[in-house]
Amino acid sequence: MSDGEERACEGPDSMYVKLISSDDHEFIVKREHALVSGTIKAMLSGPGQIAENETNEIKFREIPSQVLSKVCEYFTYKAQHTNSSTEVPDFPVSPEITLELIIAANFLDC
Amino acid sequence: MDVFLMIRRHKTTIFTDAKESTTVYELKRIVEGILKRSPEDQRLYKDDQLLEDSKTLGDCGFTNQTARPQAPATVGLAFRVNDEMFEQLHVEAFSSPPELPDVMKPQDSGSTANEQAVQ
Repeated sequence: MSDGEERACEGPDSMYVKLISSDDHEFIVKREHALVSGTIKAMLSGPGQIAENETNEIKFREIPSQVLSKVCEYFTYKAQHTNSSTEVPDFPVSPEITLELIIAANFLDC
Repeated sequence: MDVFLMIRRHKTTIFTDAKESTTVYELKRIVEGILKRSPEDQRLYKDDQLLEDSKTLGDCGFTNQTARPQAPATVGLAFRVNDEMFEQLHVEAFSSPPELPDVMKPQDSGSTANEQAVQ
């Protein structure tokens, strides 16, 4: 069995970070995707030992799971299409979550 | 081709991507790296259909068209409870969005409401 497929090495989710919504849903995304958000990037790589830095977990008390899942989809979407020359498809957003998504995007700086 | 997946169990969702040629077993290894459960202790489902380790994601119906980054496909995950049994597949639904405020609801009667919002 080759070890080439192993991803997370040190730390619990070192290649992945866990984002927790207000209703305790846990979203695990690749660390490089989460860094699309300026706020998350600052939380994870800021100076000093912030708690999030140690456990790679961030709890968002105001963002519900509907919205946080959309945010995670956006991270993947952006990472996929940045530096891509293929035609970029639309990012679908249903009207009900638009308001909360804007608030979350503003907070997350992405 | 890349396929984009949400692997979901109870209240946990893992966003990851893989190739159409990735096998179900390799996907379980990825889950192992994150959730620390060995592949033998995992079952992956597409809707309610149990997925076999040797099949590729493309074989199971995950393609570049059905599993896009902005609309990833959902894979269910269940863990082994003991030597005999696996837990039931159970995924917590996301929170329901709040009721739309009236101004945002689609208007049948034309654009008067929209004009007010713009001002």
